[in-house]
Amino acid sequence: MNGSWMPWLASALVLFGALFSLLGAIGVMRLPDCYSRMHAASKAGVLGAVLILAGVAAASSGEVALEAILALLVLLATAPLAAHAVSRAAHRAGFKPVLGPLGDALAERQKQKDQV
Amino acid sequence: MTVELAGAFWVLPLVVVLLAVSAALILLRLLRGPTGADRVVAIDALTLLGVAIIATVSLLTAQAVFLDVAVVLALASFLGTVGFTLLFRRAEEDEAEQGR
Repeated sequence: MNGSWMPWLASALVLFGALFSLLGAIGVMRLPDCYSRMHAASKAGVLGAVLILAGVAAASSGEVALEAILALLVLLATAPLAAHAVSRAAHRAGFKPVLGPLGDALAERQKQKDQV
Repeated sequence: MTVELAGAFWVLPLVVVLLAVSAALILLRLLRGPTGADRVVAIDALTLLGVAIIATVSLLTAQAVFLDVAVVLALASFLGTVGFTLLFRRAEEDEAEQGR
């Protein structure tokens, strides 16, 4: 039923997932402040886990695809929410970001609100 | 479940090693992390990595049950991270009360 390319697809997905997890971990280790670390953890880390889960679905040749895709969707739905909540709460609690050329847009916005 | 992976004899050990190195790096950040926010980020990344590791374990053991564990761990990771967020806010309120 499935062509012979399915095991290759599964291996590639699992390998790339592990590589992206490693990339996210290196980002969490090396980036300068908690906001950019959250960026690495919530994008590269989630992509790594999602690719590995897709690899599991492919490796079982669709046998457990429903469960794997359920886990994948739960990850994709909740990880951005958690990242957003943590960065916003960290900003409100007064953790200062290391600013890039674009500045601190959330602080400027709150200053504008305070003036009005 | 039947697992069909091309080159499984070297892909799976390599994946396990890569995930272990990732876990070591994130643990280092968790121990070192200068502020509380860094530690929360590290815990969040560690639970995401846990989901990836559990998926790999389900491949290694060919047991589909581990995928249910992955779903529950993803949900618990979300709830735990949001819970830490509430802790931030309480710390901020304590500081405000001490300022008065």
